[in-house]
Amino acid sequence: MEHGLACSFASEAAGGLADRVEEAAAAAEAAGLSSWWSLGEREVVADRSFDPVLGLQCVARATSRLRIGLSGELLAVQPAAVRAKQIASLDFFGGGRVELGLDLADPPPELVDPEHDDADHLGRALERLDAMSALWTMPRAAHAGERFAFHGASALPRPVGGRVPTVHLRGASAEVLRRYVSVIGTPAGRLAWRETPDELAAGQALVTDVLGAAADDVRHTWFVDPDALDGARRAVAGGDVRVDELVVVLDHVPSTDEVAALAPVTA
Amino acid sequence: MSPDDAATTSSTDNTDSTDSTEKRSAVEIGLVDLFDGGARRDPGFMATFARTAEELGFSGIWVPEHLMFFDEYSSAYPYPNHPSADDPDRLESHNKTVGGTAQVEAADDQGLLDVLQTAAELCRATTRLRVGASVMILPIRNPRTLPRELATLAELTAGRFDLGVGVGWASEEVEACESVFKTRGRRTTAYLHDLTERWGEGVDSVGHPVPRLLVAGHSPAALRRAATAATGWYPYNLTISEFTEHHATYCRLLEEAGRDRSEQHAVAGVRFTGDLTALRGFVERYAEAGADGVNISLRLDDDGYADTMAEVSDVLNLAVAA
Repeated sequence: MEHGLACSFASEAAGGLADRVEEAAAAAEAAGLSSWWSLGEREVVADRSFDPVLGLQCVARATSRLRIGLSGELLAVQPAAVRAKQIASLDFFGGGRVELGLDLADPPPELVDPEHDDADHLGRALERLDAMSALWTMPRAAHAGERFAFHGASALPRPVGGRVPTVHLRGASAEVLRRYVSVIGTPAGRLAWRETPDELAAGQALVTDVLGAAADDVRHTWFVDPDALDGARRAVAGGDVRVDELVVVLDHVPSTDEVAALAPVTA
Repeated sequence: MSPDDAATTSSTDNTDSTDSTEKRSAVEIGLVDLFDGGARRDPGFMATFARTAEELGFSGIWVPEHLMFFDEYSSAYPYPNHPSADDPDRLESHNKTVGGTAQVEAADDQGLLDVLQTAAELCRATTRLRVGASVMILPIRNPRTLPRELATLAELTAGRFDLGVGVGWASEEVEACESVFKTRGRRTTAYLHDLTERWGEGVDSVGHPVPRLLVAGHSPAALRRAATAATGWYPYNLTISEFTEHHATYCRLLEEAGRDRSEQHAVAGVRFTGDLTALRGFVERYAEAGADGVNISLRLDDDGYADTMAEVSDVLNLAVAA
């Protein structure tokens, strides 16, 4: 099982955000962690913290191995071409280490673009992912959807290797998962966001129910708060749940000492 | 114009300006250049490029934005002509046309990194240099998330980011970004007002003011937008006469809006393709016409950029006060 860290890019003092993030990220990599995740968009709104993509750029700058993840990307709130460019650029700075955790539930109203207030947020999100995939993989990209279209578009840089970054779905319901599969395909992973062991097991059963045998290839990443870490480790060790990666969620950018203190437990 | 002609002209300019060569121009000199996300211009290159510009006394680096390019456009590129190096009141054109429609000057398979991440990277490598968007296509952005992105960038750059904005000239690009081309001007004005009035909402930022907001273009709508909703004006490829005329209009509109010109910032953006020694007189003309800054697009090459920057710095005496 791999171990990772997710944190808020919250402001604690004037200046020095880049220094703090870079120092902590370098320490996390040195401590043997496998990944660094931003919080999801809805958590960022709730804690009024800084932008996750720009925060992760600091992580990318200071590391060479850590996987870099957005844990709750709301595709319903950003135009596909804008977000495709931002994610491809982050992947450039990260040397091909970016992964996407998609939150396909309805977005918080305060994030919804008034120009694109779509009753079917999921439909718009899936259309955008389809368009982003085209921009990321096709030299002259084309998209013809219900809401927008383009053809002959060159959107460089594309993600390293011309790939679609690994996509994880965060806590999707059966309905959402089925619709995702019908439009996009099988997701590479599932993110269990602050779920209890019982919720995690139920989520994994849901994935199996919808995907069948393909569920065996789905990666499971479990995000837990620090006070739930011991219980999560016991649940994994006891075989109650199948987890590929355990990620500790922090509400601030950790100091190097905090990262070091996490390392013996998590790495 | 031959290279010899340009050299003669600029040499005369320099010898006639002995006193002023000993002091740095009061005009801010920025470089417009691009970072494509390719192997040559990797993060190490970007850092060195930025440090070189800073050490040589440039005020800023300005980076363009396009979300995508097309092989051909039905929309006409609005700035195909640029002021001549030896006479900035005369226009030259180097852009290609297709069926009589001017096309944007871009390489085949041109890449451009995200403008905000580019700014963060360049500022991380420097301490004084400003970085600007030249320009962000504002109406395609989500106005609910952009303030958070800008507040983060202000934090990461210690307030060294300037936001040039445009409405977007290519209908192909604006519509591919899920926006209505016809109403992009209205949205741009509204988003500028929002950025100023709602700055700080949604993020616990720590004290950086709203970035300098400069409106690109010189149409009546752009000038009015600059004078009423922004803190600066950023026209591109205007001759001296055009700049003078539109600057006068800009000043009149500012006055009508009850705003003080001294608190605004007018930057002349120009594509420059002549002999570099002509830059001194070239820049002085724009300064005399009212520009607070001149942003020069030289399309610096990967291998020789430092030498070119040094020559420009020398011609304009930028390093004197750096």
